Amino acid sequence: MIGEKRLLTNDIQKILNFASKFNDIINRTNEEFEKKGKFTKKLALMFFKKGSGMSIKDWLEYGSNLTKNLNDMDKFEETILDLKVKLNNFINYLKKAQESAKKFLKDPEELKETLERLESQEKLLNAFIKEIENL
Amino acid sequence: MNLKIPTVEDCFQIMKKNFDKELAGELKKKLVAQLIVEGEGGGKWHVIIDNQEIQFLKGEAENPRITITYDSVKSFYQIVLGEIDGVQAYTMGKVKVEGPRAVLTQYAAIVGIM
Repeated sequence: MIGEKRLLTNDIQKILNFASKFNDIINRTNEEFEKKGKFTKKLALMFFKKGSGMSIKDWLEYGSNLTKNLNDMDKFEETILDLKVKLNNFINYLKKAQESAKKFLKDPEELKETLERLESQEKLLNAFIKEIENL
Repeated sequence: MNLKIPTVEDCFQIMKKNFDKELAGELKKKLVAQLIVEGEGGGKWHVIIDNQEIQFLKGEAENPRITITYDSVKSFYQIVLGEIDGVQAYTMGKVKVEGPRAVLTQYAAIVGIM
């Protein structure tokens, strides 16, 4: 019983760690948008919303509330079910962003850096989904 | 069922609705885009964005900064509606663009076309 409870606590801790990293990814994505010029930023935000299903403003709010919602045991299951959908939506954006980067980024260094960042984010979110599925 | 076939005028109405007046105010100079729509219902129009206003005029512009050619009214409509994005449309050969990329970015951002 104690062993079971400890395992459950460990699992939740892993989920919370991933949730924190996911929130970092959302914030980092927003930072990238903020670096852009006004016209490019508008297009990037439209592209992001279409790919991820929500505006960056909504994602920032979602990310900042995620840990709190996961810590609420009454909401845990509901949060986890919704989280899996949200993660897949974000991965969809990351895949589209990689395709777009390959088409539009001409500077090889910038392209390499962008692709590495997007790929590692995608990998982390896929690992997060696996962790959820193993619960 | 009465499904209305979209027209170029329908596309302009959507563009007017999506027009970002505030962003248009960031332009350093007038932006004139020549639009060519091929196929049935198509033709030539030009878009003038100046002083935070947008105008759609029939015919050819004198000195357009960019020229955008759509392969059909349907493609134009799908793009302005956001059903297909500009990158997809370009890859699929539904749209061709001549002119500086920076101007295209300004135009697309102001009229809300990805």
